[in-house]
Amino acid sequence: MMSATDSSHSPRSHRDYPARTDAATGGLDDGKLASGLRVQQLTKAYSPFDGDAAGAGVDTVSFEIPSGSFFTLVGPSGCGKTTTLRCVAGLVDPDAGEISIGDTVVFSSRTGHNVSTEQRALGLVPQSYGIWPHMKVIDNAEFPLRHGRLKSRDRAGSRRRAMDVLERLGLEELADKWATDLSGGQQQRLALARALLCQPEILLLDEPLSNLDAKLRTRLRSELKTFQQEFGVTTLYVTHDQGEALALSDHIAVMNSGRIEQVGSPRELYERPASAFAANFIGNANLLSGTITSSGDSVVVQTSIGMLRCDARPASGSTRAVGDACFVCIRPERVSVTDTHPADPGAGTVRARVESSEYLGHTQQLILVAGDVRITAVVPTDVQAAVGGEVTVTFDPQHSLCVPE
Amino acid sequence: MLVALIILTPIIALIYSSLKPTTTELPFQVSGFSFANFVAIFSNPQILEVTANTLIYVVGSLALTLVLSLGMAYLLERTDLPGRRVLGSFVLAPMATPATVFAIAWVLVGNRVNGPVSLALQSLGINFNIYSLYGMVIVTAIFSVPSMYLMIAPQLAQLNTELEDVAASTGARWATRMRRVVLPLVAPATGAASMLMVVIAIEIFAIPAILGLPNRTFVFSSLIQEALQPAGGVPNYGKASSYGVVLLVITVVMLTFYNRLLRNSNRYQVVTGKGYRPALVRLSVWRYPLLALILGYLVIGILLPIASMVWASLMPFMQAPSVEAFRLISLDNYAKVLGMPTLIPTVINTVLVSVLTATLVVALTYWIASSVVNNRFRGARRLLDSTTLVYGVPAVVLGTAILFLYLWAPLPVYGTFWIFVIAFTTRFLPRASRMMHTALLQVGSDLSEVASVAGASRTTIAWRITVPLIRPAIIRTWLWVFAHAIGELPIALLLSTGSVSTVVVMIWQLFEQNASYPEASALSLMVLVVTLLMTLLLNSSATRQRTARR
Repeated sequence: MMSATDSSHSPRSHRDYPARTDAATGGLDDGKLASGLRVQQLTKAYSPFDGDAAGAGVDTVSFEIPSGSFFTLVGPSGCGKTTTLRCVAGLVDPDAGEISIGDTVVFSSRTGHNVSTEQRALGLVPQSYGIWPHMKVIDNAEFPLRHGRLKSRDRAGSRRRAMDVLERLGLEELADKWATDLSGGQQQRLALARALLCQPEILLLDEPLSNLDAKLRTRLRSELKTFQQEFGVTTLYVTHDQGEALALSDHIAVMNSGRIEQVGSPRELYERPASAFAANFIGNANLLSGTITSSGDSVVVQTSIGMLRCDARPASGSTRAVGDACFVCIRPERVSVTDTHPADPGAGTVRARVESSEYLGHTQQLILVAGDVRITAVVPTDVQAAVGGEVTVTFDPQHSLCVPE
Repeated sequence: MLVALIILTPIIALIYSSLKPTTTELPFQVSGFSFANFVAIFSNPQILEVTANTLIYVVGSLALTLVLSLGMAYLLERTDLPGRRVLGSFVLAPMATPATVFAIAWVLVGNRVNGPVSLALQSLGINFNIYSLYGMVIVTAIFSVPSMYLMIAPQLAQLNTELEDVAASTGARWATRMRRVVLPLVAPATGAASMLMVVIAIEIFAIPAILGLPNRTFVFSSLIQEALQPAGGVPNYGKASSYGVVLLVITVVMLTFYNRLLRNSNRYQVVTGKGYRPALVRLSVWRYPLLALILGYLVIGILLPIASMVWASLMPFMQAPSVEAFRLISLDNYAKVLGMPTLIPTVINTVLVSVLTATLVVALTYWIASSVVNNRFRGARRLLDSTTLVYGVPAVVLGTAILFLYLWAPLPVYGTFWIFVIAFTTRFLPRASRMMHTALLQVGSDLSEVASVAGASRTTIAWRITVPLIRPAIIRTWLWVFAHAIGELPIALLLSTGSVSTVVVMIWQLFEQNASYPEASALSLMVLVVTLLMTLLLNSSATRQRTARR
């Protein structure tokens, strides 16, 4: 097995996608050796003069993608995630920072190094898929091998390789169709096939699911993950959909107004959000504002509905001291609700009125009002909670987090 | 019915005339049918020469205008060329300039005796004569750039940049991306635009007439006019009408191709993503050389001819710009032009004709287009399509046909401005109805359906919903027709009589017959100011609509 570091010798031959050999490894004997991506202090600001060409700016964004893994940039529109992706692709010139693909520095403001898009080892699936409507399916797929970086005279060879990948993506029967005759899902697969045929070190996916209807989106989401694992290609994925991010990624970076708020695994992000923004963007969260009254073994926060005890383990990147303003963050499904009335409600227990209730089949969602705060709770359907009635709400300190304001 | 009358009768009259065995008599006064006219023109060796000239002229100006328009449209729509917005409006500035004015301006810069461009080229050892076939080609190409640019630029602007981005990410170089992706994608639209351009080039009259007549280089359109209004001698109506039919056949064939291309181009429609925003191709080191190139084109192609015209209008006689000549600058020519006894009635006539034509065309096209969109009566669609038929009728031919028709018809319009209004309305109906139809299609039927569900009558819907929504298009159509009616030469030339004429015909007479270039320049400039103003208004109302739609 070759390692990523000896790429000097036979630079891409080990990244060739041969015909299907072994379904378990997807024909890739060294899938984990694909180089990663490193972005350091990436900054791009747009001026009003850029007009239509202006995107969202990014501000000192840094992250690293381990080779072979699936990394997602998630955030609301205008947070700079697409700009970051376009900088990696070389379609936008950053103002400052450094970008390395594998061992190759492709952009560095320090050395003035800037490798052009066509010389970066990339595969791109843009939002609209960018399927060329004047070509057949096979011509679209074959383009990288015939006119791109991997240009070769070997017509038969490039056709065979294109057909192999089309076959693995289940498009072999459509090869001679016009690209515009494909359905949305097929177009996405074709775009993926074409990107993979670039033999990329990094696969860039720019919201590839956003143009599809909900059902197809869920199906293609798992398909995409399967293909990514099968081909073992390092992937940078951009989306505004937190569900996609959670389902697909090995690591997620939450972006907000040009900065990265938090990087972590899906589980870390959901269970230990580092900021109110991250908590709210990934999943739903009840955020109760308050002031820290004691810290140490357990953190206690004074909120308008009383003292709440929080988990003492610090979330990444947050510091807290007594007197700091903060939010207590509890996921709706961690809020427990009973219709019993304990005589002595302890800390973390409040009385609330049921404002509305939605029956969702497997659960029910309650909107509860306690004092001046609204709490969303997702509880089992056997909890008796009539609209207008009173219930007892308990916040489990284990699942209550203190996040900075 | 009225529309059908306006559109179809001239064409029928023309074909009818061409089959009459006549030369000098009016076709409707002769009895019997024969192919004598066709036999005559096809057996005359002149047809070979004229066909060859026309072919060179059309193909040459098409090729040149394509290169210029495609190049500039790509640079201004898809790259980060500095100042591309401003440059774009400069490229479009001569849009409504009458061809007559444009050709005269080029005579002033390009003639061998005192044209600055020609003199500069002579000092470099290049013999450039504007009175030639290639002179016609160059001037027509530059003249056609704005309309070509307008047809191509939106296509390039709409083309999703992600298609180009992906090609770059596969490692394809710029030249490969252009050849394999960008050009094939705009090919149908460019092809269609080229067909249209061929039709326009075939029928442009003023440029080949002004630049070709002095050394008797004829193309079809100038030949027809020559047959009808020879410099000295009797008109040959039979020859004119049969040449007209030949020309008509060519243009109809072209337009059929055009329509087919347009239909095929739908396959190339590219769905753009939701978050789509145009990104620009970076030119890096090429930015400024390319900018210089475009500026050079604008200066030589547009600014210099107009400057020469200003210069000529201030001189007592034609001479190259020089320091000594500065002393001679005066406004005498303007005074002379304004003092002409025929000027006031001609201006009044021109304005009256243009205003009436524009208003009539807007009313008619709104009616046709809304009938089509709302499917108001059977055959509405066919009515709209039949206006396209007139599109294929070259102006000279249309003028001929209308002349014949109303010389014969028992309607006392010949010799009044009404015949101008009728002829111009027919002439501008096709383009205007397309403009109106596109605008109405964009409104979408649900907006008016909602109103009719709410109980509004059809008039109320039109007045309260549709017209306000497409007001920019209505204004644009009106201005477009107005500007073009002012600048229309061949029809006006054929229809004008001693007492009723238009300003452009006056310029033509000053230039061609009296050879008083300075005065012609002065009058041309006055017309130019009006049409430039129209273009300015046109562009500003166009922008307003674009922002409203977004």
